[in-house]
Amino acid sequence: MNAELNDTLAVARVLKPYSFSLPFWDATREKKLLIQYCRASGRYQHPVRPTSIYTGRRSDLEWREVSGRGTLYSWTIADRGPPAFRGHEPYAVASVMLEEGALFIANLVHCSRDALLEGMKLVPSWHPLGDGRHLPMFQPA
Amino acid sequence: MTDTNCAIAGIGETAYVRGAGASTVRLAAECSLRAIRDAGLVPADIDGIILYWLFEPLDAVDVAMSLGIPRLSWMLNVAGGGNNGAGVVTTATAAINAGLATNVLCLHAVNRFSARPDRSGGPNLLAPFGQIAAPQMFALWAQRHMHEYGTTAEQLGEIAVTFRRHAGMNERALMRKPITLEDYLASPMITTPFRLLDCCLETDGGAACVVTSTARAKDLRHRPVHILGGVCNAWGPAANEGRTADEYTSLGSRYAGPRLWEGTGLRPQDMDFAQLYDCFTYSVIAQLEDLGFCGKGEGGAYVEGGRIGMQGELPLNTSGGHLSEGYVRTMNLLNEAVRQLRRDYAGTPRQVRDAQLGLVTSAPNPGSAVILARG
Repeated sequence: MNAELNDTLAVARVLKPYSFSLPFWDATREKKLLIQYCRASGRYQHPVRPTSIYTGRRSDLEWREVSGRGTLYSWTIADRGPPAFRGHEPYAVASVMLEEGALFIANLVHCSRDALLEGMKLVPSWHPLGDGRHLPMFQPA
Repeated sequence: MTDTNCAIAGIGETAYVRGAGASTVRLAAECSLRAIRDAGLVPADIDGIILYWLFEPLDAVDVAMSLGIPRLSWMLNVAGGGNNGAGVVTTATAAINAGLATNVLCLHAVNRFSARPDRSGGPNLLAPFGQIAAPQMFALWAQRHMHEYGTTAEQLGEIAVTFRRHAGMNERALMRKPITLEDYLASPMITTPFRLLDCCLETDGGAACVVTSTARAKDLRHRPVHILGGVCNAWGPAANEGRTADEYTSLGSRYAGPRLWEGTGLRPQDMDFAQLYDCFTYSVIAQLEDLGFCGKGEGGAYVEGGRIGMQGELPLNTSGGHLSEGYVRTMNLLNEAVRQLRRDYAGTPRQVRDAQLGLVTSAPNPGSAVILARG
């Protein structure tokens, strides 16, 4: 098993966002992480949904910028990725528990396999997509 | 104890292969015809069809045309995968009890191996991270389960090895060669913590059953298998959207379980066997916990020591399941449950001793399930 993980920075990403997730992607131009917040329940939700998963109402949702700080909740190392990622394995995918309480799934970079540990502190690592937008990844704090 | 007053009167399947060389509708027609004949019926006796499809669109109209069914009073095409299997059987009982149909064909057919689906990912926030395939999502949940509850690779391996042993006695199974725990541990990593042998088999094939009223089933060819109760796609925010930490390691069975037990008045310990949706080894562990066969976090220990083998306390996936028989998303698990309750294997080590009650589940989230009883 290869101890070194691929940061997949050379993988061409094709974004196919839903219309309701466009604010999320627009904010990445300024390396800002926007998460949906439900005013009625006082809770964050991710991934982006058209309505609050807590109340079912669209009007309860607003976008809030979050720090992006979090901890590693779970992870997997893909040794066989989908076609676009072939040849870039092994790479890590993390389920990150943001400080605000939402789970965010993204690539984990600048981290060795041996260093992976649930609970480790993570911060965002912004990967330029070439069109001004950035892909939010995470790295050890 | 409640009863749906419906029964499974016939079952059928195609061969489970990799490279069927046949269209999905042809596989659907073939398994359907076998189920109809197994019930002692002819296609013209079928007046209702319910099917589900994923990746390869399938229409009950095409199945009816292929079989030469002259008239249907009810049909339903359900879009979606594995969670629907026990759900369509449950829905068939509801349709029969509502007077919408009398003899309902339930089926699923796939060219999962041959018709490789698009793997570029949808417009979600996962594809850009190379997080697309089902094993990758289940891997996150399994890894958390291992971290939180100490579940081990050896425990996942016990499931793979046991189901393969069961498949060794099943001529329909795609993978029959015995494996050891060492073979399991040496199998290549796909996505940590899943090795190749943690993953079900991409399969071409179809499986079907005929559901009718218990009263009609009594006059048909086989001893009927009663459907005591079912749940169709119970949902809550388990797994990746879990609202509590323990929901992260639950599947739809968390929501299906209580409904199933309350609805039937039965308990997990009443089951003589279970066919649990084993898209991955880990899904068995999550369901055992969700359904109350053991406490939260105890699923890994539960499968140890032969408990889930043919002679164990709770024989699981006695055909080899999705891990070793083939992956027709629940419908092949259902046919196996029917054969066990008919005691088709009586006198062989393949038969669950004194099989009276069996559970069949469909995962991931939402979750469906049925409890079947020997008639």
